[in-house]
Amino acid sequence: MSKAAPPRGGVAGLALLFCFTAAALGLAFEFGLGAPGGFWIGAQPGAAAIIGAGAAIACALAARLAHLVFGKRDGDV
Amino acid sequence: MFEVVLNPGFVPILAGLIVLAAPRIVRGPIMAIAALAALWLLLENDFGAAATMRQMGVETVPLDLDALNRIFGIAMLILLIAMAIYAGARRNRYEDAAILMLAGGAVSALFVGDLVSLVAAVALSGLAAAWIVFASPLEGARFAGVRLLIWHGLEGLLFLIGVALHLTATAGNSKFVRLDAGSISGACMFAALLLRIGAPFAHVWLKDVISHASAAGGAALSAFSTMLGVYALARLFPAEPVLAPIGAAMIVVGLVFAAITDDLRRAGAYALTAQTGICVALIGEGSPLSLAAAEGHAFATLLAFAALQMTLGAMLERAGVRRVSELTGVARAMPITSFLHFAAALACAATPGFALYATQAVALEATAHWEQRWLWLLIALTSAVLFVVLALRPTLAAHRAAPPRPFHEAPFPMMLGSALATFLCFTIGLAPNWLYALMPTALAFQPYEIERLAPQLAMLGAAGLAYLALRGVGLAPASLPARTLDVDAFYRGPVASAGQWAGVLLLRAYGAWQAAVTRAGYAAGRTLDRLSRLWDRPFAPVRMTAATQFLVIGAFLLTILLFR
Repeated sequence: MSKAAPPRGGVAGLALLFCFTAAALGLAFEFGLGAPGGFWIGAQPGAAAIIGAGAAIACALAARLAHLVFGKRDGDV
Repeated sequence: MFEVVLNPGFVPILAGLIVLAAPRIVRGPIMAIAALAALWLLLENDFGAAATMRQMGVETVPLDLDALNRIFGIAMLILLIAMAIYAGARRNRYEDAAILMLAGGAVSALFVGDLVSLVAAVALSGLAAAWIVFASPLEGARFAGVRLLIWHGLEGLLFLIGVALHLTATAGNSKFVRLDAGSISGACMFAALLLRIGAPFAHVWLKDVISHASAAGGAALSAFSTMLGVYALARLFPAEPVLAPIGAAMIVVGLVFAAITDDLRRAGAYALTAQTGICVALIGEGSPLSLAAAEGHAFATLLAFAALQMTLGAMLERAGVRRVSELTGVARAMPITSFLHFAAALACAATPGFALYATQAVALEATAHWEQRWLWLLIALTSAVLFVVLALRPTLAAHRAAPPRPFHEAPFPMMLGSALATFLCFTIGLAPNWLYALMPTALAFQPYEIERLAPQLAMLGAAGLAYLALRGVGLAPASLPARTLDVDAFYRGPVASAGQWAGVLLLRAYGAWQAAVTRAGYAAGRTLDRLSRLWDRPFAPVRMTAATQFLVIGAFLLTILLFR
């Protein structure tokens, strides 16, 4: 795995702001409106954020695992 | 009275023949005019079978328009206009012709009304797809084209067997009816369509050909190949229960490989497999709302992923980059293309404001039942994973600090074509009622109600925050320089190489065994020959030979006496 230089031009900060705003807005509306409960636990207020965070963590873990298993090589098959 | 029935798909096919002989300057306009003419033919005709004719004793229906094929046809033909603009930057007349043939074959297959014509049109689109790959200048494209021919040959064979059995069983009636996947004919056609959509274990052909096709070819293959299979499933096997788990498996396989693949065009192909899986699972669910959601989702997927492949192709064409690990500094050299890529990736991730969000909201509504909660979860997960994989990861890599790169923006026609496709996603996403009105089931749906919008915003935002946090602490790798293995590793790649070596070793062992047996045979023959020659001369002056003869004959007689 390469030691990459940090992103240039504050794009990471911009992405952070974008994501934070989206998450905050979404969670605020979900909890603030007092919407009726979903048809299962995954559709309850706040569950979408947990699903999203879980998906991101799973992506990172999958990438890390793939690197460990397949190592640094030339290309994909 | 003589009546000419022109399937809208015939127009791009004819245009494909014309562009083979046309100069470069008019090839783009011919493609665009062909798409517009086909669109006009599609919108001008009324619903219903226009005419039937008999071909070799079988009744065929060259044009049968309804709401189901209209929505797919509009998507493909609108996209062909964007492709015409995009392809203006290149000089390959064969590829232009192949793209038109592929689009024409796919659109023809949408609008025919019988199985025989469907097989013919699907076969034409398969051949054109292989031609696109053969026309690519990238390394390994010829082999990828041959592999695609094998896949499509298998698909065509299964289709032909299925149709032949169906014709036998129905006394030559080849008109579309709902088929039973449990019958032999239905199972053959079902299997052929599973190959076409890229079901698990057959999903590898799509990423193989997209990654080996040229910039325009990759976008065309992304748009006109798998969605034809989705249409055919919706037409021939609606509410087939086994489609739901197959679609779910496609989502899982697509997302996992998209997450670990470094090559962005392959990641896009895997992501397309995941979104196609959503359409397939919804067709399997079979309720009117699910079917409407599947058709709308196919429409939006087609546009969004073609836009994504166009922007990735533009980067490949100008800068030669295709991997996340090679993107460093690209945003500085190609800011407009990078922005277009980010917008197309947001469209693919069902970000609110884009068409895929509007159709994913319908899909979530259709699966919001206790029995289908796992499918609901997979559909919801898809957008979060694709947001991280297709939008965030490449954008962060492209903005990494680097010395100035020796290239500039993508060619203008490429940027214009990509922008048009992304713009279409955006406009349809902002005003989705137009798309809902096209669906076969009348749909009064408000995707931007706060109860639907808020969870999507929260999910994408939380996914982004979690990924950025993991990147910040170094747990999420910035690039993925790993060689991923998929099912096709069994027929190419390291597993196939190991198999080849094992085969060579086995062949050598077999050769050595054969040589040893031959030598032993020769030796035994020589010994017997010598013995027989000696026995033929009983008075030869060798005592041992006479003694041997005596012993052998004695043993023979003793054996007979003892065991008789």
